[in-house]
Amino acid sequence: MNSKIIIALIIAPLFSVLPTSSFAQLRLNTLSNFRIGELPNSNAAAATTYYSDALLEYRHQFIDFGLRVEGYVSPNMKSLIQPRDNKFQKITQRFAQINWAWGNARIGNLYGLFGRGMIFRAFELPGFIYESSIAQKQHRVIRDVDGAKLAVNWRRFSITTLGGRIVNPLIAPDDKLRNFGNVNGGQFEANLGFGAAVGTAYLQHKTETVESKLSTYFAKWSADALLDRMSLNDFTFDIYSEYATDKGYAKLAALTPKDPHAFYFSATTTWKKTGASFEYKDYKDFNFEINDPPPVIRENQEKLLNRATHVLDAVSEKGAQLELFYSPTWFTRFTANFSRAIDERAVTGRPKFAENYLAFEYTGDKISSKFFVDSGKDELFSEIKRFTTGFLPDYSLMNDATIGLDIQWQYIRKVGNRGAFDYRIYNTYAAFKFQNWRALSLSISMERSNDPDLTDDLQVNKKEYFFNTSIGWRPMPQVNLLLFAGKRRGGTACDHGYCIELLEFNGMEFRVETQW
Amino acid sequence: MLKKGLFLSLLLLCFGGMSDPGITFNLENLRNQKESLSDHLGKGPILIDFWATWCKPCVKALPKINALHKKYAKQGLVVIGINEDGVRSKPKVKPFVKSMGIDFTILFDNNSEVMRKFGAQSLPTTVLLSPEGKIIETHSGYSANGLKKIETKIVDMLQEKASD
Repeated sequence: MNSKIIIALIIAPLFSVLPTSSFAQLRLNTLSNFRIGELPNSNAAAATTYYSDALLEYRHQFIDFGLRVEGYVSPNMKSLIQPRDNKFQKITQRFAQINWAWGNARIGNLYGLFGRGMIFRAFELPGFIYESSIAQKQHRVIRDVDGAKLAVNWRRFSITTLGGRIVNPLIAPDDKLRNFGNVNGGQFEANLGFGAAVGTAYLQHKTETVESKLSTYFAKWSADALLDRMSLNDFTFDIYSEYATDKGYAKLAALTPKDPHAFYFSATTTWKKTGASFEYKDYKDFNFEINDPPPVIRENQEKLLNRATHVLDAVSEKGAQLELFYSPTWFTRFTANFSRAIDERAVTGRPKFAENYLAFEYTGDKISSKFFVDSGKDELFSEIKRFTTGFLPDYSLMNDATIGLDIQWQYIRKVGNRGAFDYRIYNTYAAFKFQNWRALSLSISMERSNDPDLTDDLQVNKKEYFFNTSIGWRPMPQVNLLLFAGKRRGGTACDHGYCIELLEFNGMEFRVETQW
Repeated sequence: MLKKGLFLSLLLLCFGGMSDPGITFNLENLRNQKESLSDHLGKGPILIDFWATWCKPCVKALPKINALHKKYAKQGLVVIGINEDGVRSKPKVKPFVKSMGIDFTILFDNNSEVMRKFGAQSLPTTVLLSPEGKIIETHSGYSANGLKKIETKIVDMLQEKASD
């Protein structure tokens, strides 16, 4: 609380120097999700649920303030940990923010990022509704801080300081376990000119049992200005490097005598229509649940690949990634990505991760298509071989409508330690999509898998099918309706570098999103 | 209690006749330099495009938006592409932009905070601002007709500006 008072005292005199103009905006975003069906792999036989989320934001003159209310109710579903009353209604966010030309101050729920997330990242995953198999309550995936933040940009310098209570985004809002301790810290960054900048950040994270004292140092340089001066305008070159340590509890708990550390480096270069980026990571005992070090793994959006995304183990992982990009014309692109990583913590050897991804995209006025192949392995998850390929063509019809196909196929060989099991898993996904951006969308999809995690058949002969259809309708620009019917496969879903486990669902779902 | 008091005090102070620089942001460009919206105010209409490299309709829209930039930049149109790939995919963005031949300003919204500020829910979202920074129109999704409508609006605004 003291930090908030200090921030208030600092910002109070600034009111007298704020610039003048005048407009106000009121915005309301709502989401309602009705569901009737079952969660096949959970302890609930049937699920009739209703989740709602409303975010009201008002902007008047130089201030924003907002309020978010989330509610959930499931009349006939009892969870293991809350068998009597599985519902909640709660104000999950409220904030006031004052903006001026060279900074802002905020009190209430806030987001933030230090460096590239090595020691701290508070964020919201837009569009995601999470439900754990244990608590069985739907809620937004938000890791925010309830406290105060001051950000100042002055000439070549920028300073951010914040403090407050941080939450675990995967715990329901009414659960006390959601509280994940307190954070206090700040970041300072100085632009040195010639495209170079250096910075440092410090964060203290304290829970009842753990105290981390995280510090990070970063430097970046864009050589573009220099290359321009040398008349090498076709070239660009950038580097970024960050090193972080923890001097708190994690150091005492670390298995090695070295300080817990995280090192990240990236170099990017482009020449005319060609580009390349290289990234390297070396993380040791650096998983704090309040940070998100760059995974140095490509997060693919294709359905089967996204589900198989390697989730970073920041406790012990080293690796590198190289991505090559070539776009001979504005409508054609080639992407090649090679990622390698090794986990040094595992009890059974040093499991390796490898991925080679190659894609070709064509984006024409009428016809667009994407073809990709991907091969690799993720030994930490017993995957000794994985191959995925897909073809995603679409065709533009009259009146802004598009029809498209999405066909993907995947082979995974999973072998257990000392031959405990040897599965050959085949996943097939096919979807037909029709979309008219202004009003209507339709999707019919089918997925087939012999994954024993789904079928319980250790001989991998049995197949599980997932058929579903969804219809989207936008009767007016502010309202979006989505009806889903069928069976949806669960599993890992990754977005903006954050991966969560979605539950399998069989039934009907009706979602209403509005924006006023 | 003290927290609530502080919160209310700030609110009251803010209603005390102060005013506003519009929606503001201060983001890093492809050359590691910070750019704010206020750097671009007063020149002409501002077209903001929220996009990501993985978003298919965004990629389809980019060359069209680049064409708008080429066509109307001299008359005062400012086009700003705000990238939403996130901090984890940052090194991949510049090669993409350069090889695609995108000429307009690209800024990184590392934590999607600016996207939230503009109320954008999906990608791509294009927002047309007045030269003073006031939101005139917001379009989500890409369609050739939608972009044509935005162009018509831009032309109107440029003509209005020229006649002033």
